Amino acid sequence: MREEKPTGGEIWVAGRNIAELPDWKVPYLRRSVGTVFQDFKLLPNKTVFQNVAFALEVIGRPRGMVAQQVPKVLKLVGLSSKSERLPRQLSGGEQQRVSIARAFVNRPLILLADEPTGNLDPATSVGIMRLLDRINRTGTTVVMATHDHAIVDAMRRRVMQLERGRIVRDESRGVYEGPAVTDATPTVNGLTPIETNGQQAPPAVKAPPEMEASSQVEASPEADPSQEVVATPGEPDEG
Amino acid sequence: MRAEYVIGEAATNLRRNVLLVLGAILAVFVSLFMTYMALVVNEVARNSAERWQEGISIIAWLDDADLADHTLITNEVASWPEVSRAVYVGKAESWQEFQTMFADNPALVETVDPSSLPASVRVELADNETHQAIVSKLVSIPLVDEVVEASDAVEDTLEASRLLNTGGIVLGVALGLSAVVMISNTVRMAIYARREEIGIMKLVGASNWFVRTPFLLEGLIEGLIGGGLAVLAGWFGYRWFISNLDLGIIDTDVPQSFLVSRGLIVLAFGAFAGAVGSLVGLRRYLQESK
Repeated sequence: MREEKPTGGEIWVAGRNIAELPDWKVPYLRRSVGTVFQDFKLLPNKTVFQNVAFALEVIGRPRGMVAQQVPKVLKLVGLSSKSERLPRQLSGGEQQRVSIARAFVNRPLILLADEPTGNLDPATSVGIMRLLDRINRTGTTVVMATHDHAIVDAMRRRVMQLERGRIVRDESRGVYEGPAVTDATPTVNGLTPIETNGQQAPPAVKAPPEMEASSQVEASPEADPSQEVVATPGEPDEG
Repeated sequence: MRAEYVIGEAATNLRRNVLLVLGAILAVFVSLFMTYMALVVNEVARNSAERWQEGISIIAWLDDADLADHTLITNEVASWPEVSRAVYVGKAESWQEFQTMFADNPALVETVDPSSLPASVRVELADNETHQAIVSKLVSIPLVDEVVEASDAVEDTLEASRLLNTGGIVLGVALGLSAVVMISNTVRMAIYARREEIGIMKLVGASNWFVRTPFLLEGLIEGLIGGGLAVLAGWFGYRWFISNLDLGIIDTDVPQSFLVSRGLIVLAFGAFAGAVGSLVGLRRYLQESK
């Protein structure tokens, strides 16, 4: 968030134009946005607990709060019993859960997930999606970029499709390749769909043209049970 | 918890690159040691050469009998073509000079009666060839009690100390620059070693100062340790020097307070070099953090 400034256009997050945000406020913006990546980005020499606690410690949260919040969020992601393990002692799915716990431990308004299932097998991915759905129901908007047809089709949430940096589709209960795809664009190359579940007013996203060749965005304005995803069968990520 | 964290991180950084850190500390140490020694040598020279400053090579001590004539004599000496400068030093100034010269020996100062110190005319020659002629001319003036000449030894020693002084300062500055570069390198290495952690800290919204302070502190500690070692080495080096070498005419005693005050300045320089070094090392990171 605010790694680089847009060369054109504006980026609004939760009602603020972040291109105009002074530099010193950027860390505070980042505190309200959790981030999850395809490659987990865990610190290899810290335990699961320490990895999650790190996110609170470095923003100066008191020790008591850390001791209280970290076990809570580890329980949410189902890793209470593995809190003393090192990342390399965990499976890929478990590592991603730690990463999600770290992103969520500060209760951000928004959780950005950049292809969170990109490195995981389909069964494990389902577990991760369930977890993101559970987080969404606590009131956090989840914005997820993905290439995974099955996930988008199963979730049936708001879907935005980006093509060459422009939004070409925005549906409240979309599937991966919805009817609104424009005829002109080649669909396969570099397709990056994004899925969002949200309680916030939907953020207007205008990506700079050089950002991505083409992508999709999915978002739902309410975390309302009627828009919930049908849980796809399959055990979460053991293994 | 923040202070604890910052200090802990700085300590980890220092431990992680022991060799580099030692190199940086050594650079600070050598640079500041040179500077400290140059300051002390300068002081020694200044002390012992109080009377022989700025080209004065002859001193004519005057009789107290007729103070009114002192000005006349000074004016006359100044008017001689061979003399480029004649300075009159009155009785009160002589007393002050005496006190400064023997500031480290208060017992001696107490035993001396201020009025017993004579006034003098100090002469700088335009041409050193005329030295003997001027000395005999001065001796022939009735009110002149005694004529003292700067010995060649004094001149040589002063010259040597001036060279040492300049050389020491120049070397100290050059080494000081290298110390700053070394420190910035250790800070950069520490940042590199923790780039993953820093990336995550930025990601989860750690404030900029929170990320930077441990590295700033690291440089500061390196500078302070180097400076502290320089002061210690300078202090004991000087003690050894005055107890083992006898330079005869040169008064090598420097007041303790001088050693302490200059030591503190040297220490401050160390801290300064450390802070500048880490800021230079952090600069790239500062730009990235926008």
